[in-house]
Amino acid sequence: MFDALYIGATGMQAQQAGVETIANNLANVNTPAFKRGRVGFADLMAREASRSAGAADGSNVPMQAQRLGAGVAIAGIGKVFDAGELKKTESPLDLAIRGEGFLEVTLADGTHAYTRGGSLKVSKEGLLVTQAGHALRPSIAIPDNAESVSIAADGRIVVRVANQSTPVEAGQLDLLRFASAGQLQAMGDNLYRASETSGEPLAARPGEDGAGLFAQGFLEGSNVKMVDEMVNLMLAQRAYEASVKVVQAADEMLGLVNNLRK
Amino acid sequence: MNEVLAIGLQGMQGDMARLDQVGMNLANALTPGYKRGIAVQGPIGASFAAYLGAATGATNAEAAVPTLRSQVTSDARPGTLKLTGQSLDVALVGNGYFEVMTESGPAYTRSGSFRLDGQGKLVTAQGHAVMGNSGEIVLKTASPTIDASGAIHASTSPDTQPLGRLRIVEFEAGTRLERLGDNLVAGNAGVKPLAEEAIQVRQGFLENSNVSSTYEMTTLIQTMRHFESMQKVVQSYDDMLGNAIRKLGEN
Repeated sequence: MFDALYIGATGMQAQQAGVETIANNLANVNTPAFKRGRVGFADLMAREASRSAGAADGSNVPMQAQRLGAGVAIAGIGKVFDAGELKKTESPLDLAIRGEGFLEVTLADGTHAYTRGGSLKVSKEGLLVTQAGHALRPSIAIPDNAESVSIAADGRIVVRVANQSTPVEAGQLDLLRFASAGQLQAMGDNLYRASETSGEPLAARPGEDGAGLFAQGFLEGSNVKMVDEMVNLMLAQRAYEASVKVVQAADEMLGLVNNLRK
Repeated sequence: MNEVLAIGLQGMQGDMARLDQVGMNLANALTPGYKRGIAVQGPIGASFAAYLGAATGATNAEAAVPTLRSQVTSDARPGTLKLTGQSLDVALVGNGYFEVMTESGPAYTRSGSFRLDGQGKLVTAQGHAVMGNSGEIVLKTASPTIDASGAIHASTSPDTQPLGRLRIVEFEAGTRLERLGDNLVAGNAGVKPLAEEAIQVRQGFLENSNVSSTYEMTTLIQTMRHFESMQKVVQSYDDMLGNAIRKLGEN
């Protein structure tokens, strides 16, 4: 009956999604390898059916198509894969990627996910796994009697075993890249899943074709910038408030209409 | 006899349309590249006189129906630029539109919040392909360099062959723009490429909407009060009619 109410409501919904994303970013400001989320907005139009039926050349746009719009929509919530700052931890199983690229892990259900690294550990089965227990792919077996593990920048893993003078090669870590990493689907636990819009994972040798290098003994900090998030939070809050005012005004006007007849 | 009621009705409908537009503008205050819409209502007197004229036998068919729906025009002034630092965010300084391809033909946008799709094609947030001077643009890297003329290079060295060049157009003078949603517009007349020296692309920026919340809030108050006064006009007229009927009935 009265578009302004609904338009105001779309504004409130969109800004709420904005605040939620910002809150998630701020909550993870100290989470290693966290990538900040970003909301995009687009205007929403009540479109006449005739537009989609014809007028492909844009020349005979019908007059009725000039209609008031219907608010704002969320164009997409994506991740921003800007690099975070690398922090030295000295822990031999902390692994970060300097530059672009992802490590592949196998989930409990056998499917694959991708991560930017983090604190690794050796599982009961002697495999190199992430903190949450997902095995790296290809799987890397660390012998029981290993004294030290070293991961070279190119992903080669060498293990020094007790009573042996020469180190043993334990495997090679690969990096994967995506055509559109920002469209990866975040699953929590710093894991991402490939989606239709992110493209298939492409194998890349560390240090080549724009892929990054491994950095052992480092953790990647989150790429959340406090100041940006705070400013965006204020903007989102005020924009939300403005839409509330519109809804209130629309409601008041409807009240006046109903009081036309005393 | 009911002209006052009709005028009141039209005034109130105009106010409602204006409130819709205020709501639309405020809801899109943070939408990149959004252009403020202005609801314009023709003078009530003019359309009403034309309506009366038609009713008394004038032959002007155009005037037969007073335009109840107000027209929306766009405030085309550019918004300020916001630094995002993302290599696939581009903003236009000055005139022009990016061309994108939708299912129903080309459309135009000033929102340069682009991304790559799974095949490395440059697309908008909704997945519409962004057009270059020679068709769709496919990039191998998600962090290309885009120079001020819209040429996209794979690396920072400027002497490499560009991967593509963003197609930046302007509408013929006097084109009526239709908003399609998704930050897109289309025109009822043709487009022509923007003159090369007028193209100013800024990578790593997005254009803010040109909505001013102060202006919108003032319009909101104005609209509310106008609506209220129109309501009073209708009520007073109703009272008057009621009184007249009663008084005349007494005699």
